[in-house]
Amino acid sequence: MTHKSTPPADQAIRDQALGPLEGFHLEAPAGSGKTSVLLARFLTLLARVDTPEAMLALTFTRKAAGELRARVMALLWERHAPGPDASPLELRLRELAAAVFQRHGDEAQLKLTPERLPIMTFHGFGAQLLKLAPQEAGVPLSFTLLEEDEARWLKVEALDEMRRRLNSRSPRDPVRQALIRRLVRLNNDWGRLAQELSGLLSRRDSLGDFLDLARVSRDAAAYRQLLEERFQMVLQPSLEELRASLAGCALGKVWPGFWRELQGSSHGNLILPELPGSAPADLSAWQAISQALLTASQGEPRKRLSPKDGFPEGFDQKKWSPLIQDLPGTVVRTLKQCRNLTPTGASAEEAAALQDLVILVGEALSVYEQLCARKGALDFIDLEAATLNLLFEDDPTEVMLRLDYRLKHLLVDEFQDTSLNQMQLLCRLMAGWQAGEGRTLMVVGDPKQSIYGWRQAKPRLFIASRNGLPCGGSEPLPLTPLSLTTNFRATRTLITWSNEVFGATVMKGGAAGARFHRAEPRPGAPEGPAPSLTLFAGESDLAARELEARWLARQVAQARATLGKDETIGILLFTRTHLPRYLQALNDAGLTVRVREGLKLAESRTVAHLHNLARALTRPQDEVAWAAALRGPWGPQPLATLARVAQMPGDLWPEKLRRFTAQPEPDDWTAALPGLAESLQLARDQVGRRPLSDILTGFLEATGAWAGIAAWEGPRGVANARTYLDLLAAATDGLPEATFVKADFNLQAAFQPPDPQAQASSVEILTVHGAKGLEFHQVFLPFLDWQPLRSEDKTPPFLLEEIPGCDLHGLALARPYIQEKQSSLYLLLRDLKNQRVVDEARRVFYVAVTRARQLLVMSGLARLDKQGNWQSSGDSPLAWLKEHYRLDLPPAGSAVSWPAPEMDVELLTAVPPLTGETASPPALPAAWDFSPEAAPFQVSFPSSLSPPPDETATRPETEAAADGDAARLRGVIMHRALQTLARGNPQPDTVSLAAALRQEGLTAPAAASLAAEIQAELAACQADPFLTALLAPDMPWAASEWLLEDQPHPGAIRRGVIDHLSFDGTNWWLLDYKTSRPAAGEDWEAFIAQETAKYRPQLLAYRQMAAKAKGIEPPEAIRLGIYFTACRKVVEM
Amino acid sequence: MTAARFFTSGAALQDYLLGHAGPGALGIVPHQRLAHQVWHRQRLAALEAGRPAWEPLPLLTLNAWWSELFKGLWPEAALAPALVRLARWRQALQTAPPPPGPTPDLAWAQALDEAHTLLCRYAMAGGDARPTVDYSPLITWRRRVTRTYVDLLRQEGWLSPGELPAYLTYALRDGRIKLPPRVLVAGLETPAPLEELWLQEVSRRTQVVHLQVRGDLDNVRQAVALPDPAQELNWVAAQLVELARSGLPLHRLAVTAPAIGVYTPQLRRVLAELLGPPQSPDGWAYNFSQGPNLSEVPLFQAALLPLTFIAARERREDLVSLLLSPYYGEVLVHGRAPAQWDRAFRERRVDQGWDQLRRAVLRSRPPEAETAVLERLDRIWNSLRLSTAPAGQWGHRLRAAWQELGFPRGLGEADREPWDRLVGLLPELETALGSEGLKAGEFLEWLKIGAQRVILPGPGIQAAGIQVLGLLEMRGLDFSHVFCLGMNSGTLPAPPRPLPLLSAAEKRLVLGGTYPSQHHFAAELFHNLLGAAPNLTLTRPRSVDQEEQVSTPLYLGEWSQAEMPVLTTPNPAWLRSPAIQAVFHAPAAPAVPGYPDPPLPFPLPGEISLTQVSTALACPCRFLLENLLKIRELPEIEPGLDPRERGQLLHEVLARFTTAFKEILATDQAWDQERARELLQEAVRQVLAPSSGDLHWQAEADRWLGDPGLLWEWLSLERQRYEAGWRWQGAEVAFNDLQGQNWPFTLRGRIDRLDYHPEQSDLVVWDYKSGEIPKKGKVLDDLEESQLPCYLLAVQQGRVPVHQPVANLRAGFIGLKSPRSHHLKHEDFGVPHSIWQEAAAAFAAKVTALGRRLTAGNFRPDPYPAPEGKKLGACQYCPYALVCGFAPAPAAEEEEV
Ligand code: SF4
Repeated sequence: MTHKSTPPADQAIRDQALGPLEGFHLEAPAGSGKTSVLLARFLTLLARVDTPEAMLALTFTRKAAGELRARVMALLWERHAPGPDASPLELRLRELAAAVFQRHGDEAQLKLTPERLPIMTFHGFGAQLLKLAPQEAGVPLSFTLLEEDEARWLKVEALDEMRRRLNSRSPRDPVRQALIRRLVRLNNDWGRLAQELSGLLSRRDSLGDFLDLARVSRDAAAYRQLLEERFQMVLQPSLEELRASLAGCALGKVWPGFWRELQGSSHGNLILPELPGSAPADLSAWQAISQALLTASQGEPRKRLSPKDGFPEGFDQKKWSPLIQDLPGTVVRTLKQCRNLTPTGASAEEAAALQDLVILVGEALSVYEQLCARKGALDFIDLEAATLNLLFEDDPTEVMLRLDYRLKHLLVDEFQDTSLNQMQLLCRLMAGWQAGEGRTLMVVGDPKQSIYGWRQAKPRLFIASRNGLPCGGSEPLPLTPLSLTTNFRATRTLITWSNEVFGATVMKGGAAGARFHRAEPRPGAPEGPAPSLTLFAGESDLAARELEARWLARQVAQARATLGKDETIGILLFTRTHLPRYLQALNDAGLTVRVREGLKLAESRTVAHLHNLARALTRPQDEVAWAAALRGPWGPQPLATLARVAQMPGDLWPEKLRRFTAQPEPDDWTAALPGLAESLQLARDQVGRRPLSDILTGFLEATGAWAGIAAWEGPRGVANARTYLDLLAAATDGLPEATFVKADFNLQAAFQPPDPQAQASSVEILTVHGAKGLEFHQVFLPFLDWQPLRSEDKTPPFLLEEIPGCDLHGLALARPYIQEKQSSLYLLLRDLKNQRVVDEARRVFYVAVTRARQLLVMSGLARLDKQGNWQSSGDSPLAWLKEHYRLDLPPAGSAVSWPAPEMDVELLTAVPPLTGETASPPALPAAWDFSPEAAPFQVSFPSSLSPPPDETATRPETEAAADGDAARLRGVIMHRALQTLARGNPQPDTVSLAAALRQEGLTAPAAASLAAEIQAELAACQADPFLTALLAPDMPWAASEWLLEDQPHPGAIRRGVIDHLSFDGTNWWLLDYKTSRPAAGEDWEAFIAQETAKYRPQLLAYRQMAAKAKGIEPPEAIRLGIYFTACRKVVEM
Repeated sequence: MTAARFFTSGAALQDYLLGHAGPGALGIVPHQRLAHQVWHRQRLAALEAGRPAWEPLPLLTLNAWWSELFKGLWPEAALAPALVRLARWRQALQTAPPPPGPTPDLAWAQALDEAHTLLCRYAMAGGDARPTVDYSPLITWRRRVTRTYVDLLRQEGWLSPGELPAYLTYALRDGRIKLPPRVLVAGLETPAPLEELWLQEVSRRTQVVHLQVRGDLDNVRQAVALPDPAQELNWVAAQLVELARSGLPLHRLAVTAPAIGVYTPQLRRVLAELLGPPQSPDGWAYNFSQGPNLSEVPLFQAALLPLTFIAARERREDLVSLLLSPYYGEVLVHGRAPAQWDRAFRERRVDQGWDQLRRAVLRSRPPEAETAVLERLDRIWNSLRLSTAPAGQWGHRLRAAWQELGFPRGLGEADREPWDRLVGLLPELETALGSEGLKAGEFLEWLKIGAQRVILPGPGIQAAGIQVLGLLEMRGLDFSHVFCLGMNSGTLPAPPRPLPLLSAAEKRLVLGGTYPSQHHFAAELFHNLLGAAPNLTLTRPRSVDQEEQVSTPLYLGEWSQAEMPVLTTPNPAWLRSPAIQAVFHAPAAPAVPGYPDPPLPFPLPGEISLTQVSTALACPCRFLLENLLKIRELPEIEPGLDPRERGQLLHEVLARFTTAFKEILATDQAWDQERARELLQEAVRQVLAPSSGDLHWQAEADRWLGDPGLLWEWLSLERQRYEAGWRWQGAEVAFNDLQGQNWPFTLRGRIDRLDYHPEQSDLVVWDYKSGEIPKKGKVLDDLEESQLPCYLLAVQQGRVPVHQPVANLRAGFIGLKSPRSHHLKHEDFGVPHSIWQEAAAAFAAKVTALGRRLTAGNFRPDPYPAPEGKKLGACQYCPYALVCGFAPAPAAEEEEV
């Protein structure tokens, strides 16, 4: 096995990247083992620092952070000896781990703990910093981070709240007026405006200067000027590039001659002898060139150059036509684009409309911020902004000083996904770092795999950082650029194939915003089969797609049958919307396939019914929901039953149902209904008292619904239903309506859990984005004709695009509904956006094909014209392959091999159907039983033997509860004071009594007045000879507030506190203090009689307990008294 | 004198307490739960020994002991309760403005209080232990605001709880406190300096024995890593059932976790699914030691509704929540009628404002039934509409509102405690906030903060059932088998506490402020855990939210791997769950049923409207549900305008205008544009008058009459047609008794407009379309739009008065979607009269077929146009999808846009 011992060709680079004194910019293509290099460097540095906090490794996802941390910990702490098969890399990593231990010696136990390993996401790092210095960062003292769903929800709430607030403002309010104008411009479509505002709120970090302008100016001219500036900033580089490209091509080189020959024609009059410049004023000259060189209809380079086309008589068509035909693609594209542009980027109306929108965004933002503040929540934009705030403080905070002092080494993984904010954060962390000081940075990534544009990832930042981060200002900390070239993952054939196809076409000349470097196979890598491309054609696209799906299922089934142990198949999709069709075909073929974040939860019929049930229970007034509740999987009723119920008298359906089931003789077909109706009623009665999710769970059990759910949708339906119940539980908000509304919102974005039956499947279907970082032995890549631009909204309500060459953004609004044409700025930004989308799609294609270890199977639809010729289509992976090979398709039903690099190609117009296989059901063990446990005894309290006050009260509970407090507190404090006296301590003074009352919750004035009363009462009690005698300190035996327990009968325990028990040598006395008094106008005698009767059972119980405890026989030997402190009267029982 | 004793188990520590605590020896326990377990054992021992009665051993937590001693001293100051402290912090914050940054709110008051309590415990609240180097203006400010706070407390005779140990230490030195002969201190491994100082003082006067548990690592019988927290819970739950089956008493089993709060919600659901409710007539299944806090219980949320309605600007949803709440008895006694108010609100799109809401009710419902409730609500809102008021007054009015509305109706056993605590909270707030004026929203916030601090007991008991409790509570306890979940690093030990209001130097001194101190604390907890049972199972999820986790550094033994995918692999414990049972009994080919509904003979009305017949043609099932059974949809109030309402009002404007202007034209003959514009404006004004204050309608008016205005553009088009010889024949022309061959019913309808051209004898029937104009094929070939052919039939049958000769009868749409040329136009598709005639005949035949079908009782769902791919056809806006059970094939779109 040569490859084990033979180092890869780039081993020297891998070793160099560990240099602890130097910083690196490491480009690591797919399959090059970059994580191992990162890991090795991490350990190398960890072995040289004093504490782990001197390092910081940043990742983009928690998943990546977790993996890195787990690998470091495994290397550090799992110290079993390496096996004989251990690779050189593994041995090296173990050596490094041993060095770490050596460095930290006895402190390793404390220092090398996982929670101290500084490996975290950008966001995790930000959150940690903010928690340490919230005030300086301007965030709530304790905050929670909003997940994307929650942030979306909060935006919906904020926009609605803003709308309500503006609705109640005066018609002259400028923000309200802005809202109305904006609505009118959008044909009074609030939904579209809300979408627009929500989109802008989600991108508010790119709106900085627009929002700033809104803060300082209401002047429409200022907005127009800003738009014009941005227009020029976008236009100029585009025209410069056009000029350079045109000048560099064959036609450009002989331009003066071309101009001369044109003279005398209409084009000749407009075209200049020199190529125009790049100012907006030069646009008309460029438009003249565009008219001359491109056809009017399609904007294609002209073939015919006749006088009819504006060329002079006798114009040398043979000479010039080929030159025009050979114009570079970028020149054609930009010339075509120029035609629709005007020298002004935006009209005054557009500037005014933009101003309105910016004002509204500002308003929406302030409401959103208020809602966030109320919840103590931050979204990711707030988090990034606040972190930057903190790091950019002029006056560095204590936290910053410590961080600055401590931090020596930074490592950043997946650096191609860095956003502008994250770049700024890195710059700030490294501010002042100088070469040779021993501080280092290493960034690792692959710009070809940057596929997170929607998260503001900017692969250009990767390229711009080759020699140091572009932080502006002073010299950056130098980085040594390194590139890994060995691909450890794929076969030689696949590596060669992607080198050729991507290097020569798909990513040629930085076409994907990234330079392409060839990868090398690892030593000893197998050859492997060539990739294949199967195309389908049918009567319609729909029919062809069906063929492709069926074929895919067949191929996957065959591939699975030959799969080795631990080998996997990945079916990668460009977008999630492609999933249902392929999944259906795979399921039809009886294949169980793992699906990651596949179908929407709401698409499950079971879930739709459960959600409807939640709706019905929450809203008894919803007639449709109630009718639908009778058709759920818990026992669907026929339409006839529904009709009968609907016709019953009653305002609400719960009432109709009750009446229906109460009919004396239900017909046969209603037999199932009474049980269901009863369960519905029972569930409805609990709404508002218990969480909706609990009520639904109970309902499903009561109606035996689970069997119905499984019959409808099988195990997947059960899994979906359980996921829905979890979603409902997570939305619980106390009030049913609020819970339901939140669940309703969350349901829109929720996905079905994995199909339980497919958990162990070796076949997985997922998006390319989901497959990033994964690899499969065989990769199937259907829908190769995916055109990323077709998935994009052609006229998004706004465009907010980064302007090439600077960190600023251009913002343009779609034309109002009354206007036919988009503004020039909008058109330019749309082109930028399209370019960005296509660039990213090229990278997505790269990520997809590089997931394969052994086999790559591609498929898609070939659009054929009537003659059977393969038609070109817009940008798509298939179009790029077509462009690369430039060959015709084989006849339908046959296969050929295309060369350089080799690829098997086949065109199919028919695919035989495939029948599914069915698995036999598993043998089930018997369910275990479980019985709850009886309590060993029941604990009771004699004090509860007297009837509770509210049972006899005639006043409403609210009132009684409010007034009862003072009386209760009087009792508490009197008891405590009497206990103090019994212990021989002096009587507390009024101030102390008032303090005690306040502590129990009474207001100061009330406490003061009650304290005076209590003190007087205490003094009177102390003067009462009966009580004084009993409380005398010289009693032979006495106890106050005496806690006792006994067993009144088997299985019961009694627990009580006796106010006072004493023995004077002759008599035992048990006293119970009562501080209550008759209500105004009530007679003392009657009151005492009533109270005595009431407390009799309690006192008898106490006596029994005391007698048992003290061994007094008979219990009646203890004298029993109730002592009324208000009148100092003792009533002996 | 101080002594220390170490025990290898909680059981041994408890034995010691049982043997040594008593009248002469006070036991100090780390938490109440240990006291309960010891008392339980004491009871069992007493019963076994046949003792008739006994005194429970004196066991107190340190705080309870301090509190008892403090009360016994009858001090002149009172210990400030939490809400009082918060109120004073807030006052202090107002007088000592913080450094620039966010406005300090109640969260700041809470954080300051926590920081102050912590600093007191660590004897750093004064100036003595002040760190020498301190850069932060925040810390300087904290010290200043703390001084103000302490002064405020003093002035009012309060003592902060942090100051209690020092106070008692002085009292002890003064001889004012009597100590028991012995004090046994259990489980206080990491005392704070003040606690230590107190215990030292105590030990100078009496004997203090420290009791500590140092469990044995061998007690860990299993350490198991599972894929994720869900499977971890499933696995533990199955183990619990297995142990219970093996005969172990349930109360001897415990489940704990360093972060029990994270697991609790899911654990509750798992245990409920597997073991049923915590309590049943058969006994106790499990017990969570901590229930929810008061602010989380439904009763509390419902109780706040009157105030929420006022504070949150009188929102419909809050009112409806109140009307539907089971706790408001006086609303419920009026039957379910108020529930229907919501329909009135929604139909009238009233989403806010009591006056509008009230009006909506009165307009749509018979007033007698509702007046009593409305009047009650009127009274409540009037009493609660205060700009500011002291907490006492708010509390009083809230109580009055409850009383007026019969709150809380039907208090169940579970509600009793929350209700008592809620009622108790109001005077607490009054005491804390005194006469300070608060807005409704502020009072609500205080109520919520107060309620968050009230922790309610769980529904179980400690003496029976499986016990679920936090790791802190495990100290000194004794079980037969304990499961400890979530044993990952980052949880045990937890990361250092952020403590943003403490300086770095201070953080280094307090527990939890640094990695080493968290590690130390975690190690103590782990030692205690090891002593809690002779059989311990540690579990941990290998990943949480897709982030791989590393095991706790406190347990360095092997972790075995397990999984519990309950939906894939049958497990006998999990087969107890009906849901799981169902998974394994699912049919091989599950299928949503086609609802084979038998024919349903249903009497049809003699005459139906054109809209209804259109519905029936689009789907008979929908016709049954909507028109025959009248199952009404509950409309959603979407923000913005309802397109239907928008269309209706536009129709109304046009009808008003054409009727009025037609009369003028009849007399003047000449088109007076100025006059027309005036009339059009007037029509808009009249139609929109009821909703003139609404910004969406204001925008709509601008859309119609702005620049460019939809109606102005339309008017120009009409003028051109007028000049070309067209005359308005009628607007909103009603017809009825339209008949067809074998139709079981006649039809009625209303034609938007009729235009006549006298020279050409052309008659055109128009339908206004405020949405997209349908395509020609859909109208003339597919007959997807019924109205035009039906109008033609009505004219042909003479159901509409036409007094002139008609040579050509045609129909068309007047598009009014926007002023863009393809939206705003008169679209008659340019086809000859004969094609229209054919369409009318085809429509008549379609209705005949429909009639046959309906008469036969065939109301099965049959949408036309049928859904196809992403296009939902007739089902697009149908609310009955779940009622009819129609299941279109899964969407299979080519591309998304
Ligand atoms: S959803 Fe479709 S099939 Fe069902 S009733 Fe409505 S229109 Fe008919």
